[in-house]
Amino acid sequence: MNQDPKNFTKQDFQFVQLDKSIHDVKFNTKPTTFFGDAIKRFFKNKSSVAAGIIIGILSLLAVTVPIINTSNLDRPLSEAQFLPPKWPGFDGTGFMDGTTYKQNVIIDTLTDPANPTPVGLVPSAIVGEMEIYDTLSNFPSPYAYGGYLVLRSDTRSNDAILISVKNIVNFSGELSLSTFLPDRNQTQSLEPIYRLVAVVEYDLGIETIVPLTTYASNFGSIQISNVSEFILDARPEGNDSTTFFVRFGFQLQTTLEGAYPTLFIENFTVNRVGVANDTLFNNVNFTSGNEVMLRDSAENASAIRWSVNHGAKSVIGAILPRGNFRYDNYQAAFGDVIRNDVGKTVMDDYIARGWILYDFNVGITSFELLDDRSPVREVYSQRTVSFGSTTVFTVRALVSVYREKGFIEPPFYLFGTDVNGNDFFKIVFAGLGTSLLLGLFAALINVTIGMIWGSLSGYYGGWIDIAMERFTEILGGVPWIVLMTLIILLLGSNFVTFLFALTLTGWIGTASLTRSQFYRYKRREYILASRTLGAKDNRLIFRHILPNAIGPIVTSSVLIIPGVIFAEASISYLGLGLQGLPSLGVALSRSQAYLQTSPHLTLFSGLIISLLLISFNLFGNGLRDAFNPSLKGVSE
Amino acid sequence: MKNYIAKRIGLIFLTGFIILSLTFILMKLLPPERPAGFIDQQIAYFENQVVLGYMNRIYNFSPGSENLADIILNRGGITYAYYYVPIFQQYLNWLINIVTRWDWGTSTFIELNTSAIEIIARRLPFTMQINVISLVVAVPTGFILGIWAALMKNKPTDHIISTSVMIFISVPSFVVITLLISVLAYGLSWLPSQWPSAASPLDVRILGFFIPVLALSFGTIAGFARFMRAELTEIMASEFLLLARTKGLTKTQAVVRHAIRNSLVPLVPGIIGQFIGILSGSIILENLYGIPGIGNLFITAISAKDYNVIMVDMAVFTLIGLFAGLLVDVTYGIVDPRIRMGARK
Repeated sequence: MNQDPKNFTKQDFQFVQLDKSIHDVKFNTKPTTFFGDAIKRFFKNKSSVAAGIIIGILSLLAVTVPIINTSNLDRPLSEAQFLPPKWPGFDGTGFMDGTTYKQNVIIDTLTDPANPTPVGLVPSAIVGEMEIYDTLSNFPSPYAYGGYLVLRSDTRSNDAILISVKNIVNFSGELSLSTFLPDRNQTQSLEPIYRLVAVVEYDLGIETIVPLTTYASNFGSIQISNVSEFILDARPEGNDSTTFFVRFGFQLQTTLEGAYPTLFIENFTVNRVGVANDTLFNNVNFTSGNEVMLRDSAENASAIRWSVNHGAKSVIGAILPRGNFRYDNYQAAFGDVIRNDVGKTVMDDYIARGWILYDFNVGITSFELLDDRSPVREVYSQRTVSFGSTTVFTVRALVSVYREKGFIEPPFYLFGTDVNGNDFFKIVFAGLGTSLLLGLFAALINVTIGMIWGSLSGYYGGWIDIAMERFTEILGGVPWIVLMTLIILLLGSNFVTFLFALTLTGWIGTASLTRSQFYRYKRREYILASRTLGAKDNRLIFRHILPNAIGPIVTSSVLIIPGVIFAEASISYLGLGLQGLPSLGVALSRSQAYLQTSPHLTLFSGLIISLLLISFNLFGNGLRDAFNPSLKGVSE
Repeated sequence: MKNYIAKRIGLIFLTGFIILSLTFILMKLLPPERPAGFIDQQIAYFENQVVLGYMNRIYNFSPGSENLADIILNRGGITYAYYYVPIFQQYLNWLINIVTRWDWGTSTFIELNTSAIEIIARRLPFTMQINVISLVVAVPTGFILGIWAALMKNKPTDHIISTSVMIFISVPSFVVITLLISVLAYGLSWLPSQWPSAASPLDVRILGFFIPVLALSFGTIAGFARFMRAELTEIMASEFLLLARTKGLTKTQAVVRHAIRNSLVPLVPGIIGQFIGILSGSIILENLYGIPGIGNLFITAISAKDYNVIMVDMAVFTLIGLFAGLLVDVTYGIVDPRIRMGARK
């Protein structure tokens, strides 16, 4: 075969169908429709199909969960507040099993040193071992011990004085005083200069300061054995009494400039020499700063205090035991508890239901558990109190809390519980249902109005376009958040108002997209060609422009649904959420307040809303690609 | 084109006027709220309303004519009675104040008796700073990611970019903000968990920009990257690019000179559109992060029914939106000469 076209001769060509008649061959396959083809191509896109399936599952859950899940969302259950998520089959894994790892919980080691218990938590709900360690605290606590009492001067003009309460003392005997001042001040540039004093009332009502030491910066142990001598020597002329009111204290010299001096005191003891187990100065003596500061607390209002003039007292370095442990929140909320005061009416109710047998005249031996539903599991003792003719019975019993709350089995919550102790799983999916319904209706209305409006405006152009554009501009110029706020404030917050507020400006997006798509295509040559062939406006709009333009419109119409969900959630963040119906936005925005303490609420609601929006986006993209005629036949 | 722009600018003011008028009337239809506070402050509030021309005081108020007054207050034995003038009258007074004296009224709640314009002017820079910074960060990043993904189509890079774009575009901004605050501020303590006050040191104030800018940028970056990828992949498959390659251009030349330039058509207006988008999106951000911008102000003003502040705030938002819309239309024509805005069929 000759390769050079210049050298082709007539013999190089031959007719294909010399002896056949030429006619169109009938198609053996059925012609595909535009939508049929789009759907076929959509199903080739795996991620979009997956997204569609996820949307389907979420929608199904949104419909079925509120029906199947019987937990009551209107009844607050304070015991179950903020329970973490618990999934069946995860028991003991430490993950999604209803336990949380509690850290830095204050431990009460003072009430029962053999059995330390966490403060404010249920000891029986601790899983495994509790790790206890000591922390230093600069705040007084009833669960702490030790620490130094700190006296800090706070004026330039007067010495700070820390002084005990008044005691009446007979100074004929010997009085010894000992205190310990830790040498903490060396690290400070300023050493405190102080003296120990006794404030004595020689004449009733007139206090005289009797110095027990000279001004110095002594640290360590200080012992004064001849306190009586100082007091008696300082008596005014003519007073030979030996019994006076006396207070003890520290006088801390102030400084005229620089840092204010600070004095640390570890303990303080005064006692009468030769008196065994002297309790006279119990209201003065202390061995830890924490203890002195606790005397100031509100619940200790009657305690005898050390007072301060021209300064402030505080505690530093008190030892506060804290613990880390895994804590079963469901056990704490719903486990068995021992109640001391189960009344007769409650018992009678259970007896009437046939759950237990009990006779108050016989006592605890008559208790018999008949039905597993009974909240009272065991009775330990009975108390009978008579006021004249009436007799009140109470029993000390083991009560199962979850049975008492009407559960047959210990409940578990897949997404945990919210501030009211309600099942967050149901809240989320019931809210999702509302959101999806709202989104679906809004999308339908918006796309219908928007497409008609945009087609007319974009196709005809000119003054029609300008007039229609002005209208959408006026409507769209108001920020949607403003318009929604105004409508909800005016018409109240319910489903119809929300739908109205969302559709009032929602269609503008579709309209302007349709309009710009029309501008994009209406001056193309193929339109001109069609028009020359006599096509009417109707045909041009619906046969030629719209099919080309439909891709982005379809995408945006699918994306209206997540947009509506987003708008509903946003408006909830402003405190104007949907009322009367469960709402995902309200659930989300309420979780925000508990972000630090209960992150699972934000996590689950955020996860579901994000999953939904991601799926809708993927789904919308798949649709757009499927509806894009220019991608027809292009393999991925 | 000049005619079109002039016409549009004239219309912008007309539209703005209609929007603000409608909003004013709508807002006045809301049930009025009495200011909370001492009786002196309440009287000051209502006297201010009288000055603004929204209420009238009944000076010789006699008992028994309670139905004439909307508000009756008592201070030191003197009765202060006020009634609302008709809404249309209020509207006229409001217009006259603006047109004759450029007086948009004073705040009635947020900063009592401070000019509303002044309050907005003080807060506008915060909102603008954050929005402009995030736009400057987001637009190039989004472009580059989009171009990269389109050129690496169906390779792992593309899948990674496309997947993260899909996630960031879908996750609502308030979830992103919440996450950023809880991780970067509470968890790692790298950044402040609240907008730092003006008294904070400079480095803290700079750090304070990170969370809001990040929060606003994520969505924008993702939006641009997605749009850019979609446009560029479509154009990469078009015939004119094949022609460019056939006539001898290298792939880089073809992409830079023909593909990217053509894919910019719908994107340039998108940048401006995005600006309005994040401006309104920053309302929630400002609220959650405590930024003293006009978005935060808007919410406070709405909940306190501080009408004058709401009106100025709305005017700013509306005018920005309207001018951005004009810019979108004009740039359409500049970027793609085939599109002639306002043209007849």
